[in-house]
Amino acid sequence: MKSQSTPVSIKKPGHAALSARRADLTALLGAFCLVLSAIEYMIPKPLPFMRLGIANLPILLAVDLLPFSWYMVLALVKVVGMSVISGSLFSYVALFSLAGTLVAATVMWASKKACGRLISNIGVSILGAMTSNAVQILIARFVIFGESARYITPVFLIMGLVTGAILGLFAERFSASSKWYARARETGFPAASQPPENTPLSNSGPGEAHHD
Amino acid sequence: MTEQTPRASATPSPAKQKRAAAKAASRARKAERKEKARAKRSARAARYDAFFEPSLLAIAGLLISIAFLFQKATLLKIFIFIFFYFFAKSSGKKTSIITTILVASGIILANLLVPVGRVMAKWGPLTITEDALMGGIDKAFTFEGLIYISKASIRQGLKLPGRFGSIVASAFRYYDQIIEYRGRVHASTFFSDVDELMLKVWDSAAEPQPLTAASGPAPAASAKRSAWSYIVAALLVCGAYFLLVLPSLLQ
Repeated sequence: MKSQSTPVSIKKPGHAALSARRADLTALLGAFCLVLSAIEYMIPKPLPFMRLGIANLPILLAVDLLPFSWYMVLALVKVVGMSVISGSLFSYVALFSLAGTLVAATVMWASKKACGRLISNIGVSILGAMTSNAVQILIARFVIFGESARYITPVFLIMGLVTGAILGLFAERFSASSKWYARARETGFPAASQPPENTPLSNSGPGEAHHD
Repeated sequence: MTEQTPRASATPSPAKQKRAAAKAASRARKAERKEKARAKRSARAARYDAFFEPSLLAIAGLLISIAFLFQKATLLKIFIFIFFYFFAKSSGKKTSIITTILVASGIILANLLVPVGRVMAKWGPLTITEDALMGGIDKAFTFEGLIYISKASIRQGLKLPGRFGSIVASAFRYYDQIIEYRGRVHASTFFSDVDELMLKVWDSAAEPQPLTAASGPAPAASAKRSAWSYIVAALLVCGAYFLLVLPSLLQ
């Protein structure tokens, strides 16, 4: 799909340069995960791992920006970075975050790649949020709540549905109008995308300028 | 109509003024107390970070967490939890007894919902059973204890190794830039403002630091730590493992 749509005018960067640009983009998206998680940290919650999931927004946006290996690196950067900032790296909170994020990221990636244009960001986001919450309930069943985990399951899943839909709506709107997003797509998949007609952007992302 | 409004209603009564002044004074006192607490916490964090190397703390914290996780004696676990709480507090991290009690109570209560073991008491629709209660207490203190030891041992100057560590470090640099971003994000122009922020942050990183310089968001003091920090860390790890085997030694 990528090579078929390669415009002749766009030069393919070398492997090392492309890798450096993707690393840069991963770091930037990871930073946004950390900022959003810091915002989320300030929102009161009944349990430390019961989150709205707004920090997953960059991961949702990254489905179309990064190849799978870098995409999973982004998920790991989010978990490790958040755990370092909050100091919860060795706690169950990090375990919940790691399991929820990795499984949700994989499901979002797979659903987008399998369904393509048939699924919107809202659908992808809802799937990710529901999966993340389901995995966290499963872990909570074994390490915290025991059999009682079934009582919080409906609340968690409804929360996942609502927050997933809201995040998906945001991602849908942002990806449609953002100049940065168009540029980031070029960086992640330089052969696959072209800047929109109304946004005269250069082909070289800042990542290329940094590391070449 | 407005001309007929009595003047007294425009200016608050003396009682109201007094109440407002008392409220303002109380708010000021509260803010002052908060500021003092914040300053004390910062001083504690500075002392702690000057004493311990972040990587040494992380390794010691990981080893202690494992020993704590496998601790079978609930009483010892509670004792270790209290130690972790004060250790995290002395490290300058924010701690809250109220939040800890609320979360622990929630976990214990959730475990009590499914009765297991001997019935100890009945409280309305809730049956308190021995195994469910002990299991709940154990899980609650494990959960909270791991949070506090993690808070004390994971410092923001922690360096992660390898290429992954360099990407995390790069993410932290971007994080600092986003936090320091001077522009504003308004509700009416939210999407374009966020877009502008992303473009500016990405473009502003024209001269990034080398990717090998891995570090957390706020690097700690790089002064050379004394050998005492290694001795203290080793003692803490040994203490945790001694407490782990203590119940079987006593049997």
